[in-house]
Amino acid sequence: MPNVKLVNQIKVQRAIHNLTQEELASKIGVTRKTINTIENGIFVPSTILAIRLAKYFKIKVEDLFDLAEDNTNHEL
Amino acid sequence: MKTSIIEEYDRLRYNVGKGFTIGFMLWYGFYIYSSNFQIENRILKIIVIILVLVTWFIWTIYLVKFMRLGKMLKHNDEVNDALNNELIQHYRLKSSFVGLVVTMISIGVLLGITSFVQIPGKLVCEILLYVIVSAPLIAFLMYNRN
Repeated sequence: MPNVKLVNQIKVQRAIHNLTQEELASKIGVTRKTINTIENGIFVPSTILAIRLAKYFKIKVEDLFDLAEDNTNHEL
Repeated sequence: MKTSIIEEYDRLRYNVGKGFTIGFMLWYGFYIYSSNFQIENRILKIIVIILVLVTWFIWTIYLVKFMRLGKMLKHNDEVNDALNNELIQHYRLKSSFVGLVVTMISIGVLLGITSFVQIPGKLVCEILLYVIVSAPLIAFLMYNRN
């Protein structure tokens, strides 16, 4: 199975809704760090949080999150 | 308004956690040194005792601050939930694992040392307690740094 990574459109959606990370975090009920780490692909959110984010932006979860091939070489 | 409250508490928690960790490490480090090693120099002995007392006081202040923060958050479910979100729980889990690994390494190192020199059981227990408390706290602060 090829390596995959979770990519997201949070930054784009934030720009559309004219929101800062801090404002979005407050609307969702998390901290700015959580939004920042999800947005930068550092942290993979739970299904619950992913759905909450998608619902807030009024889009489908798969439109907000998608899988992409990870070309980073993980071999030692 | 609510936005800044969450971030304000998050920053406060980080700073209190940092003070608590540094306070504990200094206090317990000096305590281990003073209670397990013979200090011949009188002035040095007094300095170490003063350092133990001062760092214990600093640690106690941050311990009280930590407890007060927890009490404040108890009355505000919304901020409490936001501050203990899944990222923080993920960091806590990772920090616990780091603590476990560091403790296992410390046990290995201490076992290796006992092959050459005798170490009193009290000192071993105190060193392990120091590592068990400090390692997850440091790891959590590093994961959760601003």
